[in-house]
Amino acid sequence: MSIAIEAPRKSASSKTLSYWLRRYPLFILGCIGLAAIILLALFAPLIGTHDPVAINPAARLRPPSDAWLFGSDPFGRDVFSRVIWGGRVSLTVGIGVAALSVCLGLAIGMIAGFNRVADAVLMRIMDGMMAIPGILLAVALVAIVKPSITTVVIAIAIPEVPRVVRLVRSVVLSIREQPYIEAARLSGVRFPGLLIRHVLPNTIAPLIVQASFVCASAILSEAYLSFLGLGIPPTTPTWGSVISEGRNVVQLAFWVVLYPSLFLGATVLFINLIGDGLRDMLDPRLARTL
Amino acid sequence: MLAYILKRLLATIPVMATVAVIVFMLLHLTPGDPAALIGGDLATPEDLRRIREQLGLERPIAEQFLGWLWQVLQGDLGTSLFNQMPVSQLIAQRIEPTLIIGLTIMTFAVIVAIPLGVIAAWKAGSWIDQLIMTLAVIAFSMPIFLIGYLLIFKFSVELKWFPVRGYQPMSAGPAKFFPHIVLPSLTVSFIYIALLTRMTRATVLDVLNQDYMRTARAKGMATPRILAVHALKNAAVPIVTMVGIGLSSLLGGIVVTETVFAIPGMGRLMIDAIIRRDFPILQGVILVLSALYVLINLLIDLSYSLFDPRIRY
Repeated sequence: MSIAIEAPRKSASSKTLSYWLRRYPLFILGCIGLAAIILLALFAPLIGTHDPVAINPAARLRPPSDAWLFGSDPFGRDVFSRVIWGGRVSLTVGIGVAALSVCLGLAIGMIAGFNRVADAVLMRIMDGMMAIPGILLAVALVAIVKPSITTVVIAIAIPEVPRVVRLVRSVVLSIREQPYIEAARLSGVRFPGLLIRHVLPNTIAPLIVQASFVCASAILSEAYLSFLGLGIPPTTPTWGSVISEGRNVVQLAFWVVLYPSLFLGATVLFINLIGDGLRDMLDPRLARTL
Repeated sequence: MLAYILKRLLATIPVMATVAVIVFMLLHLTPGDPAALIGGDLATPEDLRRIREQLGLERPIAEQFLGWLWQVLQGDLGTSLFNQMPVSQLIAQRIEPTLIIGLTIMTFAVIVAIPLGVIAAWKAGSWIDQLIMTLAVIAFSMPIFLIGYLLIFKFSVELKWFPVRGYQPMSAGPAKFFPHIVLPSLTVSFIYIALLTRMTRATVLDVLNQDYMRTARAKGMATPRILAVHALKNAAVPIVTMVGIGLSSLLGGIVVTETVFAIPGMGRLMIDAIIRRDFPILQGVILVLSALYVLINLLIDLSYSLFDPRIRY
């Protein structure tokens, strides 16, 4: 009897796995890839072969070898160790920006969707913000504050907010007219409850998708800021700062730029693959609007 | 038509006004004294006084804003704090490479991306669609400097087809000018092409599911003609809109590319200004690039009637 129960269970689970692999191969690839990068970053102290910030002038610009997996940078620091430590900062920035811009965008979008007067004012401001190229706004915001992880997260998140606002607003506008909202209102659900219980859940699916794309582009933006010499101070290893320090020696020592760039590109790719997969899974109609 | 153009022109005013407020507030939102921020750690009280005077920081903020706005409307973007040159003149010197590279990318990307997107939509689900879409998501994810440096290594260092870095103005003649813009344009194109290909595929796919497509097929129309005449024409408006919206990431990409290729464009002007804490230049560059973005999107908006005769103004 136990065999009879076990057999279908086993086949059911293996069927699901193969179904997922067949249906969303790139999504699975993205998940595995991102998990690997997160693990590398989490266990950086164990995996790193050198101290990521220790300067060793005697070992400047060593090409990749067994001792220096990805070579060494112009200060004799180990690029491999800096890359896996840098992953911590880049992932933190990505997640931080996604969380911050989604929270701000959700709040502003809800208000805009429910209040006509606020809508007119807020959407004009959002239009103005969207007219400024995102990187330029982030660059300008970083320029007026002391760069740190927190300020960089804020500077990158602000230009992302309008897009989230537009998304939330469009969802709210379409839901506002639904009969069940009317019903909830008539049955005496008060305003905050109405928003949280009946409107918010509808925004979650598109927001998760949007958040993954924001996360990917934020990781790139952080690297661009550091590359331009404006990001997180170079004493903290981030992918962008490693690349920025290799910028002037790129013809001599391409490895300083190459390896962090590959990690950066791969991470962004994995997150984008996850975002595409989520979009297809959660709501196929979104494929057209995002 | 004229009334519509006027209406659209008026609609850009609140947008540009918001941009102006944001750009103006940048300096004044700083925690602490803007003069100290500009002067840096080594500024003497005398320096700070001079900076305050030049920027008029002692006046009430509303007065400062209106004064600044009035100047900007007259085309005066202020004076560089570093070398006392008018910002508008500095921008005029640097705008050529940024504009030329931007236009080259737009043209090239449209030529490449639209056919790719149409093919992907037409063959949706096939290996060729999957290949195009996979390449698009990869191109979309690659950091600009990685693409730039790889291109430099292959085509400048190894094959010596193009110069490694630098820029020659158009006035130097096409033989000198052209090689300098090829690689920088190509670098940013990847991302823009990826963006447009994804958008084209999605909209064309939508159109292909319409009833009139079945009719066109049923009456024996050849596939290329169906795609070119019926599908693309109906998908044109969303695609063209995307060309405009994508301009924002394109301009950001050019800023990074200018650093990779050491091109003296507006992006480089702005980054150098930030390093020297030269805020009038920073404000001027953002204002001009945003105005450019708004203007091009306005033109795109007005062009809709070319693509879709149903749109009458």
